[in-house]
This record gives sequence, structure tokens and C-alpha cells, in this order.
Amino acid sequence: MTGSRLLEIQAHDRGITCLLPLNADIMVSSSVDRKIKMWDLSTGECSNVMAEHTASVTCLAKLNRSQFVSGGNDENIYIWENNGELIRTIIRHEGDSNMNALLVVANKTIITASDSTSIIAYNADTGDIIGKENHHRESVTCLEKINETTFVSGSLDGTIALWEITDRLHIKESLSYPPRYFSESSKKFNHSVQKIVVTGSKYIAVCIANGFKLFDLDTGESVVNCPSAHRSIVHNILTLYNGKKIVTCGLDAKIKIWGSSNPNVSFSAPTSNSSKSGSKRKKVFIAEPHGDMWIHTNQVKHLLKITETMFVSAGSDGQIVIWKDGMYESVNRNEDARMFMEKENQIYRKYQNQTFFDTNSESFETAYSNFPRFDDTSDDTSNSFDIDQVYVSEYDSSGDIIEGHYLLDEANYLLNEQGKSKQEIREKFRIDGHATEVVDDILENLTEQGLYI
Amino acid sequence: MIMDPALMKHEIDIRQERLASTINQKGQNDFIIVAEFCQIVGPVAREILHPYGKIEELEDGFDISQFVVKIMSVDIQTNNEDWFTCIELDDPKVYGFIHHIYLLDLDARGFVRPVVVSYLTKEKQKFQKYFNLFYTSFQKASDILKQSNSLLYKLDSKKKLADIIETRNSLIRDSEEYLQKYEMLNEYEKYLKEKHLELTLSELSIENDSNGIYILEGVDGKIIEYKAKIMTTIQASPSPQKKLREVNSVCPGTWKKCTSQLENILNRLHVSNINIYKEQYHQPKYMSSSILSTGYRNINFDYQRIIKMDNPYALYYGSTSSGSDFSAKEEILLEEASIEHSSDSQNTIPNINDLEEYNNPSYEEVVPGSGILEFRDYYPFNRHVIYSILKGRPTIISGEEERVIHIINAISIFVSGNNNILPWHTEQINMAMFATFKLIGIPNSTPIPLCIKPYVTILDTKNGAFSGPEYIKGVFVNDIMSIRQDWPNENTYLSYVESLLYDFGVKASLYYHRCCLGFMHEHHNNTPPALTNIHRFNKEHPKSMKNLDEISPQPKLRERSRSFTKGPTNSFAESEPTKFFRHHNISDHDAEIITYWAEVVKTQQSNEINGARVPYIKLDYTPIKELPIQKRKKL
Repeated sequence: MTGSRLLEIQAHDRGITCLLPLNADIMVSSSVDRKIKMWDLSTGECSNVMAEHTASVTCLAKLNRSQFVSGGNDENIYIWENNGELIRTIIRHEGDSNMNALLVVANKTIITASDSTSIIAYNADTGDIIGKENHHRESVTCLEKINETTFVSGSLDGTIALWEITDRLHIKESLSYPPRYFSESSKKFNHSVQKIVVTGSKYIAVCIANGFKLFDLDTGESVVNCPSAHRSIVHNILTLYNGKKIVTCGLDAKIKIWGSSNPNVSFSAPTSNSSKSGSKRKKVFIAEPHGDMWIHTNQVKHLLKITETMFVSAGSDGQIVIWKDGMYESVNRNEDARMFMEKENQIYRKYQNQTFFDTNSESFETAYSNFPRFDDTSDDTSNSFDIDQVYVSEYDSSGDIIEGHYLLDEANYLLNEQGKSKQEIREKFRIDGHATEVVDDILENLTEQGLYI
Repeated sequence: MIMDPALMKHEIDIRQERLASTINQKGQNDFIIVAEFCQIVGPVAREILHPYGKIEELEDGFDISQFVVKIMSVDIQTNNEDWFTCIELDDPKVYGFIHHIYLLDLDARGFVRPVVVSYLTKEKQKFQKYFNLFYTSFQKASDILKQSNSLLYKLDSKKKLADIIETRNSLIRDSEEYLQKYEMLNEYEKYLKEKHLELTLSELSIENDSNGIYILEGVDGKIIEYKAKIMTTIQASPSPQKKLREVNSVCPGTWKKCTSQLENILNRLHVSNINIYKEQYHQPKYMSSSILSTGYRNINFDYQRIIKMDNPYALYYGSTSSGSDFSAKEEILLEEASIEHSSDSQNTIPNINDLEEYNNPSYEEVVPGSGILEFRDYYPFNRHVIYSILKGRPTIISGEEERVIHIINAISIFVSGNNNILPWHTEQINMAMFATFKLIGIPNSTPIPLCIKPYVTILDTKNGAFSGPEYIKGVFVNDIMSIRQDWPNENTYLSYVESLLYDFGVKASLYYHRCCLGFMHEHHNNTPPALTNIHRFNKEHPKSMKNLDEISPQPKLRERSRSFTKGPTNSFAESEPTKFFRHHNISDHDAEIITYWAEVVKTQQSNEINGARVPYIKLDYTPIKELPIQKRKKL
């Protein structure tokens, strides 16, 4: 896990939307170019191209051991054999509405979330609809599986719902339902849900607008509410140190670490049966800021947890950063140093090399759900939680996209809330070390308020 | 074939005369001398290699015989292992890398034929910069020789043993001769077996049929039959008058191979620095497993080695013995720095076509560390900058090119590790660079991205600003940068700095052994390997240790240095490092430096164990302080 590049594939003509490793040798990629391609990871060669979709392919998911499913911005969902053979076509009930998320539960039920506001469940064997619910008022942005019968969904309108699916689809609990969700003044969705992460069987973490919340699934209550964690929207969240720390990243290019006011709480704890019948007193924890980690020069979209002391971040600046706990790594190096000295003393025993998972920029999303979670740190002997050892991938400035640049938000803030002039903003950005071209572009875009969302 | 020593001496004299004349020729002044110790005539040059082979053009001025006598005047009986040293000769000024090889020969005194391979050059910096290259190349040449030599020696020993057995069998029991010789033969046999450390006794066992024919394995691996001889004289140590085989016969088949290896080395290294530099730059970086080097003078950080050294300040001294060859490999430092100093080009990687430009000899005049006294006197916050560099925090010097490069050269001696200085960089700065480079010079026009600022120290020489952590809780850097002492010249000051770094290096080594190797993390239950006996430091280097042992432990509770996260900490149990620093009265900021140095060594060793890895960046979250420049007048 050192960020060395193992394989580079020029895979598609246009942006890659999803990567799905079927097994150790085969990976599937989907793209805006409407194609699905299969790759032999040992050689990097393309073994199959599937061009059934008539619009961008946005979602891939494993159905069972030998099949996977694809969905996109067209009318069909396709089910494929692992060898690339088309098995079944399911006609989508919501038409060609942009598909935002696709989930498979119990190896047989496909659930889709799209801009149509509906959550629809299909029987993968027959293609029949199991249920269709219009709980959300805006686009459904994310779906996350909790177990084989329950999943959670989030929407642009801030609604978060816990669903149960047996022979029918129904809401088990509505976790959040903000009455007013759109701000006319700022032209923004105040409670937009960007991402839901299941941190254990008891808690889920949700990125809501500029902040995040944690919900206790046993009680359905929000146990942590941190509404303005970042200066702009939060893209992703994860837990570290066995649930003792929360990591968030966002449009403001920052990664932040949070800890609970109660050092004994673990947000990755499994569900406890006793708590349901226990006291009705509502437990609330305060998320305390424990530090800013700032390396990316543009928004940070993805976080991927590798172990309890290690995660990866990927930003629109083209940088991939592997973050590790320096203290923990230092202790590991003590081992290496001892080994080295032993070797010097001619009693070197063969060191068993660990093989690590390689991280390509695009693979986070899917790798996240597939990578085994290590439980290697019941590490209370470590005095610190500094995530301070990082590996930075090669810098690729071509990844810069002005529209999503975090400086826009900063500039908006300075212009509209601080009343600074454009010239003052230009000067500030210049002093801060931003390239002139980028600053110029941003100031040009500044006339329109609330450009994104 | 036995060569008449007198004839040999004569022939070599002629060659030596020819050779001496080329030494002063500029650009072609590198050559290799292979010398051996001849039992009859003493040290003689055996091979002389010169890149152009024009021995006729050699000038007078360099006395090869004298040189050979000088380098071979060492007590060979006490040492049978390879070792090397660097020397400096006056009149003419020549620098030499000397590699001593001990070949085995049953006929020679002490069974040893010393051979010395010397690389001589007028370019002093060559050894400093490409030490690893010299070291590994010569080691390779030595290995080639020793390979066949040990096989031959093994064979010779077996033959001799066969002779002894045969002679013993031939004796008539209880005869006068028997009484005379039997004991001597046994002594000889014992001596032979004892003297041969590399062979086990079972390897020396030989089989014979009854006719005095012994079946032995030849040097080439083939089975040979050896008819044992009855010895007429029995003498354990060979007669000094006996003519020896030529040294190339002691290494059957590989002498030539070694010579061509040496020729390769010469062809590769005789060219000016820039070519070697380029060769190295374009090769994958060699992760040296070794020592922490501090500055170009390379504080040797192998503690076992330090305690063996006669002179702790001896540079480039080492030995391949004792199995810790990692100690001898010195870092190649600052090659990029000093080469780029000379260049007006703003490329950071020299272009092959720019050779002419780089061949400008002026770059050789830049000695790393020069200007350090000026730096000390000129900037009042110099200690904060040095502190950052010493603890591995990336440091950026901005300003006008000449000035920046000058400062970087001055303070480059504090950078640990290798290949990590970028004296002049005009492109955009990004975070990934800090994985490799710890000291970077930039023009003021290059903006420093906001997201990098928290992790770097910036010295803006033009606009008058310093931004970085302050050095407050420590004494080490204050000692280095103290302006209370006046120095006659910069070299004296540099030596002083070097001695401070050395002393500090010893503390770091102690830390490494106590807290990194010795301290068991609770996760791991293995027992620590046998460590260097630290008390030996005390005996052999009282100077280095006095600071540590005179200190009476003062119980001063030290908070954890700094953590950007304010999480729950287990303060009830004092950690091993905390204990160590408290015991040795090392304050927080000095402790950070020691920790970093140990980390550098560990990372190198970790790479050795796991294979070279992509370098990591250690983010330093220490809050930064912005200070305005107040130029201090020169005293």
C-alpha cells in the first residue's frame, strides 16, 4: 500500500462511472460512452465489450456469484453472466430517468434509485416489480445495504428512509424528513444527502449538505449532528480507529477528522439487542473537530477505508493520497528494523510478504464495498491518532474542473457574505498561491450565484 | 609459472615511469593501480590501468613505487578481511580510493597474498559524491577474484593434507625419522585446518585409495586424481625465499575477468562528475541500506561500526567484515545540489546535450556547507530553519536564484537521507514533491499553494518573511547556531558543526537501540534480537558519551510533543521514548530530531526488508509562526 502504479489502462473514450471487480482476475468498467467493458487484471487486456445500453452506464452491481447487473440513463437494466453473456433485460418502470444508485439484496432483488424520486424493487429472476415507493420528493441520490432485508436511501430533499424488503417493499422507519428543503435565497438544497455509509450494524453516517449526521438504527434517532462541518457540501464519510474517529471530505478540498465527546463510544459497533428494551433516554454525542488535513487542491470526492489506521482519498485535482497513522507505521518499522538487524546477525527468517490491494483512481467506489475490512487495531497503546504519513500519487493537473472547484464556494462566500470586492478576492487567491488562470476562471463564473446544485 | 622477481621488478619499474607522466594531465588523470605484496621485493604494482592506455605520455611527479609501499604498509597478519580507505596525497595532489583484498595462497606467508586495488584521481569530490559506486564496483571486482581463489585454496589445502597423510603413512614406526616428523606432521595438519576458517573440517576430509591416489574436486568442479607426494621437509610456515606463483595464478581464470571489471569501472568513472551523475539519475534510485548521513560528511550511523573505528571522524572508512556490510555503504549526497549550482540552466534534470555546460569545472568549487557561517550571522531566525531541516520538515527557500542556491548549499549539510535537495525549481510546487525533496529553492514568482503551507517551512529571502515552527524547546540547534563563538574560518566552524552532529548522532543511535529495537510494542510478543552492547560506547568513546552519562535524570514531565488531534491520550503510562528523552534530558524539539533520524534509518532498513517503496511524506502539523526578517549586521 504505497501508491506504486501497478497497471494503467486507457479504458474508455469518455468518463468512467463505475468499476466492479468480479473476482481477483476480472474487473468490469462502465462509462458515459455507453459501453461496459471487461478487463483481465493480470494482463490489462479488454476481454469483452458490451454495448447494449443506449445512454450512459452509471451503475454496476454483483447479483450473485456468476452474474452481475448494470443500469444507466436508458430504459433497461441488464443482467450479465460473468463471461459477458446477456442473460436478461428488465424494462425500467421509471423510464429513462437518470439512475443514481443500484443495489442488490438477497442475491435476487434489484433496487434502483433515480432522478424520478421513486425507489423501485425488481425481481431479478422474473423482471417483475416487487414494489415502487414515492417517499422522496426529489432525486434519490444514494442507496446503502444494511442487511439482506433492509437498506437505507437518501435524497436531495434531505429525506432519509430505512426500508424493509421481504415479499414487498415498505418503509421501516423514516429517519429524516425536513419540511422545507430548498432555500430560495441561496438556490440550494439545504439538506441534500450526498452519501450514506454503514459504519457498523448499529450506526449509519450520512453526509447532509455541509455537515453530517450519525443515526442509531436501533432507535432511529440521530446521535451525532454536525451541520456545518465543512464550508461547502460534504462528499464522503468514514470511520477509523474502530469507530472512535470520523473522517469527512468535501467540496472545500479539505479532509477533517472528528472525535466523539464520549471517548468510549464506537460508531462502528454492532447492534446490541439490549438497547431496544433499555432506557428511552436519547443519547447524543458531540462531534469535536480533531483536525484538518489539507493536501488536495480541489474537491475531495472519495474516501476509501483500508484498515482502521489507513484510508485513501481521491480528489478532482487528480491526486490520490494514502493516509496512514504515522505512529502506527513507525511501530511497524521498528519491527522491520529488528528484522533487519536479525538478518544482519545471520538469523534472518524469511519474511512473509503481504500482498496489498492496489488502488486505482476509479476503483474506490466499488472497491469500497468489496474490500475486506481489517480489524487490526484494538490499538489503545498508541498515544496519538495523528494521520500524518501520506503517499501522494503523481500530480495530474488535467483533473482540474473549474465548475466544481472549491474556490468558487470560497469566492461566493467572500463576495456575498463578507462583501468583498472581486479585486480583493483576486488578490487574496493570488496570495494563497492559486494559479492566475484558475482564479480568473472562477471570478468569471462568480456572477451567477449558487452555481452548483 | 614462476616469474623471476628481479625481472618482474624491472618490467614494472619501466611501466611505472611511463605511467607517472599522465597523472598531471587534466581530464585524463584517473587510473587504477593493482598492487601486490611480493615476498622478495616487497610491494609492487602488478597492473596499471589507464582509460586511454597511453602510458607513454605519462609525466613525472607521481612515484608509483613509493605510493605502493605506502598503501601496503599495513599489518597484514591481523586482518584477513577486505577493507578500504580513502587517502589524500600531496605533491602532486592526488586522491585515492584504496581497496585491500586478501587472497589466499598456501605457499605465502600467513597463507595470505595481499592485493591492493587503488583508484587514483585528482577530482576530490568524486569519492565524496559517488562513494557507493566505488565501493560496490570494487567489491564486485574483489568478489570475482575471491571466488576462484577460495576454490583453489581449498584444493591446495586438500592436496597438502593428502601429502601429510601420505608422508605420515610412509614413516616407519618408531624409527628416528618417525619420532622427528610425526609430531611435526600433526602440528602442520592442525595448523592447516585451523588456519582455514572458511572451510569446515568435513569439507577438508579427503578419500584415498591405497595407492596414494586421492580423489579431489578441482577448481572447475571436475573430479581430479591427485597422487600425494611424500614431503621431504615439513615446515608449517612457508620459506620466505620460496618463489611464489604469480598472483594471477592464485585466481585461476578470474584474474583477467577482474582486470576487465576494473577497466569497466575506470571507463565509467574516469569521466567527469556529470556523466556519473546522469547515469545515477536515470537509473532507479539505489536505496542505500545504511546509516543516517547528516550532511556531505556523512555521520556514520552504524553504531557497531562507530565503536570499531579508530577515528570516529574518519570518513569513508569501513570494512566488509562482520557481516554488516550495510554500514560501509555511504550515502551519495548532494550530487544534484552541487551540480545544479554551477548551471545557469533552470532544468532540474540535466539534459544529455547540455554536457558541455555542465562540464564547466567551476561547479567543483562549490563545497557543501560553504556559506554556513554567513547564514548563521545573517539571519536571526536561522535556528528555526535548521530545526525544520533537521527534523525532516520540507523547507522552501525563495528569492533570487543566486542567493537561494547559495543558502541551500550552506544549509544542505543538515539534510538527512539522499537525493533530496532541489536547489532551484521554477515549476508549480505540489505536495507529491515532498516525498522526495526536503529542501527546495524557488523564485518568488512561484506561488506556494495554500494547502501546502501548513506542512512546510518557508524562508523568503526577498520579501522578508519566515513561516514555520519555532525552535524554542531545545539546545542542540542553539549550540550549532550560537553566535557567541567566533571562528577563525568556515572550515573550523564546519568541523565544530560536524562534531555536534556526531555527538547528536550517537544519542540518536542510543534512542534507536533502546526505543526502536528494544522497546516492545504490546502487540508483538517476540523477543528482541541481540543488540549492540551499548556500554561499549562508554569505554571506547568517552567523548561522545559524556553528555549522556553525566546527566542525572531530572524528573521533568514532558507532554507529548504535539498532536494535531486532541484525542484521548493514555497519559498514565509513560512511554519508552518519553522515558528515554527524560532520562537523557533531551528536550522536546531535540527529541523530534532524534525521532526523525531514527525514522530515516528504520525506513531504509524497512525498504531493505520489504523492497524499496514509494517514499512517504510525514505531515508535520506543528503550528507555524510567521516572523518578519530582521537582517542582522555582520559582527
